[in-house]
Amino acid sequence: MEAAIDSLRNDSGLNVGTAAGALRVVIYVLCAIGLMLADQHGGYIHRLKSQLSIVVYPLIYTVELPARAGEWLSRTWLKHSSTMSENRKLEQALFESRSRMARLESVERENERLRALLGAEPRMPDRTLLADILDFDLDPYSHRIAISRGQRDGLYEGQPLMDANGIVGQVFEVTPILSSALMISDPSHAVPVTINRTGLRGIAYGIGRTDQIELRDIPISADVVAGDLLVTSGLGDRFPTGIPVGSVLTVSREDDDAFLTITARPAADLGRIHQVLVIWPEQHRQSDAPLLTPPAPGETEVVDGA
Amino acid sequence: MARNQLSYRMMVISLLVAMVLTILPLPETAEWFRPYWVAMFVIYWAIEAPGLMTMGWAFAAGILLDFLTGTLLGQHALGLVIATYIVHRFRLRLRFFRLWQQAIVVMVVLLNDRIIYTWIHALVYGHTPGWWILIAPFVAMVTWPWLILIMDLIRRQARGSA
Repeated sequence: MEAAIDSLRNDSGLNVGTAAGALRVVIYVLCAIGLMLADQHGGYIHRLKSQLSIVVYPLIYTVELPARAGEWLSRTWLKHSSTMSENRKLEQALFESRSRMARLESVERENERLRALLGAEPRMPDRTLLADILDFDLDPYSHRIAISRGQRDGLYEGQPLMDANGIVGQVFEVTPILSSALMISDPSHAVPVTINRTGLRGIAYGIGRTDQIELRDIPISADVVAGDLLVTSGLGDRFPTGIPVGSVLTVSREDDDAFLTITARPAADLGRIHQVLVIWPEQHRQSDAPLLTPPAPGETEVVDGA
Repeated sequence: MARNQLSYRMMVISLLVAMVLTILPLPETAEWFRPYWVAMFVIYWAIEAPGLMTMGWAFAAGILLDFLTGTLLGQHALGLVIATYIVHRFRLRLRFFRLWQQAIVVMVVLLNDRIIYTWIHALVYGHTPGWWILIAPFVAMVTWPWLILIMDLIRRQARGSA
């Protein structure tokens, strides 16, 4: 950084043809590469980054301002303030109950299956919090979103997010006020899923499209048809069990491949959501013997990247 | 000196505006067409006032942009420093280019930046982004003459009133 400040004063820009200019560019390039390496391998840069992102909050706020003003205007025009606040509360309640509804269907089926085996214990409802989406695709080649909740709301890395219809992604980076999250459509993201109808397990990978995800490691003998509902399997302990992930679109087999490739449409409308529900999954593993669950590849990637 | 200070202020403001333009939410498909605003303004100032837009400033702007967009720290900084270096190197020729010739050079510089981006992306994430990352530099080429026009207008007015 000292070099940066130094050259702010000295570098007239006219000596670029000289060795000094070339040396300077090499120094900056090395600085940048060093930062990138330090950033990728986590550690203190990561913490520093989450502290410093407060610096850029004013800019993000400025960008949001027109949208906020528009929303405010339309609300004031809509009705008096009392009905307005009531309306807002109801909207939130509706959103939350719709997301619970979406889960019910799969939970019911899971219950049936488990009751046949042992009799499942009733699940406690998860704690949730509504968050606004501030920005999409911060880097268009990775599917990330910025959400309006952060450390002060108790968010943590790896926390699952859902919308009214299904899983959206997971929190990736938490800063005091805001967080960024990885959507399930991000190429580096993977969700452990089960096919609701048959209970078959698999892993759904993002492929960089908001309208499609992929399962690659399904045996060819597996019973999968278009329209099957995929729900989170709860393996890997990151996502709660039984939240809809998507529905199967196509089932295909590439030439000599030993596995099926399945494409699915995400249940959540990833391209259009404005709000997400942050979930605190209940830890309800107390009665189980410790299970050996190999970590999902996508999830380890995410942890490494963080 | 007063003029210099004025330019300084304008450079910082234009960079901030460029950053706002960068994070302005757009529909997914429109995202591919978004020109690399910060780089365009960095190039503009590197041509107009190389004493102000030094590699240090380009580096600082890149770091801020990295924070803003959540990319790997240093990724944008690297691209902007290299773009600034190239522009400084050919600045004397660039200044006497016609507008459309300049626009082509800007496109080439930005394409070069995309190539660096692709390398970093491939090294870090293990896969290359698609061909569509080449769209934005073309949009930047088309936008360049307008950027020059507007910036010249603003600067002339600012000078007149100062």
